Amino acid sequence: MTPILELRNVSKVFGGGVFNRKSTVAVDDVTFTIESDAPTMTALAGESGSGKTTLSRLLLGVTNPSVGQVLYRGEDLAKLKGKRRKRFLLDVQPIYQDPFGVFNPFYRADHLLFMAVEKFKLAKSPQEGRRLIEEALETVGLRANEILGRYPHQLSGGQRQRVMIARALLPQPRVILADEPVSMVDASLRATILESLRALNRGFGISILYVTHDLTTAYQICENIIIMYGGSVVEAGTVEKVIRAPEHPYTQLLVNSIPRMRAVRNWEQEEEKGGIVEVDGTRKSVGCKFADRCPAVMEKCWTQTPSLYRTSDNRISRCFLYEDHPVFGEADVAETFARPQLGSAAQPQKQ
Amino acid sequence: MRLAQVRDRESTGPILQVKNLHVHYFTPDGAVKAVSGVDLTLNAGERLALVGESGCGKTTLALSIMRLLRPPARIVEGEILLDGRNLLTLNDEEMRLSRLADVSLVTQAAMNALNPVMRIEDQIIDGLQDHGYQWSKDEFQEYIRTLLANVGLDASVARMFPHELSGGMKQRVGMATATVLNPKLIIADEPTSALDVVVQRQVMTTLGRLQRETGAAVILVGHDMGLIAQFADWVGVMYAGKMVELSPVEELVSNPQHPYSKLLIQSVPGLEEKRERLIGIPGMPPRLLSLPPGCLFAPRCPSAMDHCFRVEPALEAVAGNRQVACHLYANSYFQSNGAEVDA
Repeated sequence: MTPILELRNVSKVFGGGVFNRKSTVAVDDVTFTIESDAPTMTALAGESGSGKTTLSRLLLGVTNPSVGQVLYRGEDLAKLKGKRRKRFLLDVQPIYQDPFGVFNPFYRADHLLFMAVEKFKLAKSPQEGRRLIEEALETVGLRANEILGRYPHQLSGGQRQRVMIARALLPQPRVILADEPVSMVDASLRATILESLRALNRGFGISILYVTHDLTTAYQICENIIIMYGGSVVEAGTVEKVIRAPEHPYTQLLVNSIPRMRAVRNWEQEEEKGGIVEVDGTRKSVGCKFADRCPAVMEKCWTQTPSLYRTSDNRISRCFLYEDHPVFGEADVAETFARPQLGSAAQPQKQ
Repeated sequence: MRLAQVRDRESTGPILQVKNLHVHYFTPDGAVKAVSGVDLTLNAGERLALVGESGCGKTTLALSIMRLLRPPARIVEGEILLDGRNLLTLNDEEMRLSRLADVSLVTQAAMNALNPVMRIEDQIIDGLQDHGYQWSKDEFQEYIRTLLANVGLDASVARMFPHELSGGMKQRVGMATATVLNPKLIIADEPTSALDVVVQRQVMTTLGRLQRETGAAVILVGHDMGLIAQFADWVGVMYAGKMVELSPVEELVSNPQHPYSKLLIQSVPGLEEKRERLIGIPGMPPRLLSLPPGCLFAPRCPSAMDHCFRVEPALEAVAGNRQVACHLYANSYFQSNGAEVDA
């Protein structure tokens, strides 16, 4: 089965040419597939500047890769035309971070729902269009009479974000790319929005790529996770393995930095024991990108780039600490994922 | 309200007393009651976190203490005593000098608080000179080096412009500036909401260290319960402009009393177990234009009683040094009804 979306050795470089020293490598040689026959919920996590948003923009086709290919059902996304392109536009839907910026304050909030129905020709009659919209709103837990006819300022942030999820649902997509969908919403409203996303995954079989810096929600709603640092995948696998027992020093740092409600005043106790390693500004690494912040840095890290190693089933880590494990190389990251819905034939291959 | 006996310190008197504070936003539709009758006492060296949904009045309360509210917002009633002095009776010039010297603010977006065309040291010197410090250039620079070292920044940062710094560094500069005159109270309004988790941790531990070293009291405004648990001694849970629970942080996290606090704590996902369903808080906060009678949380409350829609519960002391505004814990109500207090 051809995957619905595929990144094949994709790099994205901003500024200068590929070999220009001043350029910024936002995404560095990533290979990753999203299947449509087995709906997955995958988190893509990392700090600002780790390349996670660029990666999702590459998958949406709004940015073209500098190196490598983005494929939609086996065809190069950049060269899609006509009917195939329209099918892509229906199949892959985005949800963005800011539930305030996407609405035009002069139009009613339902304007963008009706526009989606009209432009994608989703309904044969206005009545059918309205019915589709009402169904989509109900799916995300909104009552149609609370939303239709209202202006954006009359809705709460949580309601607006759920209207955006309803809009993404209208064209019956196969994949939703949700880029930080809850980071601008109140903590108490996040749960309902994430539940709507999970409902789309389970109820409609839509694969979801959840781009986030919040590992706690990623752990709660996703099966698998990819951790990015400096444009590279540094660790990937099931959330149970990656978040509960992180291997890469960067993932360990991330997980340790999650403010835990149950561990009251833990940070300041740890700070007395040494705390976090500050950036070592004295040396520039041409090897591992994390070398200057790594508490476990070794001499070779500064000069050599580690490969991804398959440390166990359903997990890969890009760190020399694990170099006695089999090399995973730059193969499809999704190969490591657990896919409970799939038959035994497509289980992750053991080496 | 006694926030004392939680930590031992030299000075034990209250540093901040807020009494029956009411703040309204005067809009064309009427007065929006952003803060309605909040009482608060904070002792020197204590850390209080204010938590609640957007629009619950936590930032308005914090800005009232700085007297930085702008029209249409106005303090309509109440007193704010900082070290015994009522801030609301000071004239503008006295208040201006009191800011930074007695009470200072670390804002949500320190990146926007810095002047983009001034070097960091000049911005800090500006504040010092304005408060009457007439040192030599060398003395100023020496002092700024110490300040920057306190927040974990290199001395070279002093000569830099804001655009040369990362978000976390700017937030630390904001903290260095806030502590420049050793204030008695620091108000930090969501100081890390724009930062990455790792940087957030560094910034919060820096704020914690500053607090320990200067002995200032801190009010942290936030909505991330995890972050608050890492920092605060006390947590004030606000809902619709009122304080509904005030409690030591460990007790609030492990055993919240007010139904709203319970839902708030429950809605925080953890790494302990993977949940089948994430739980949110159903419904929306009330419109603050016209407040209904009774408890404002009653329409969303899972344990609301008839009584709750008629009579407003007062913030009353319950066991364990805590205060709760809820009829479930009001002794008088239960005594008159013969029910048992379930705590």
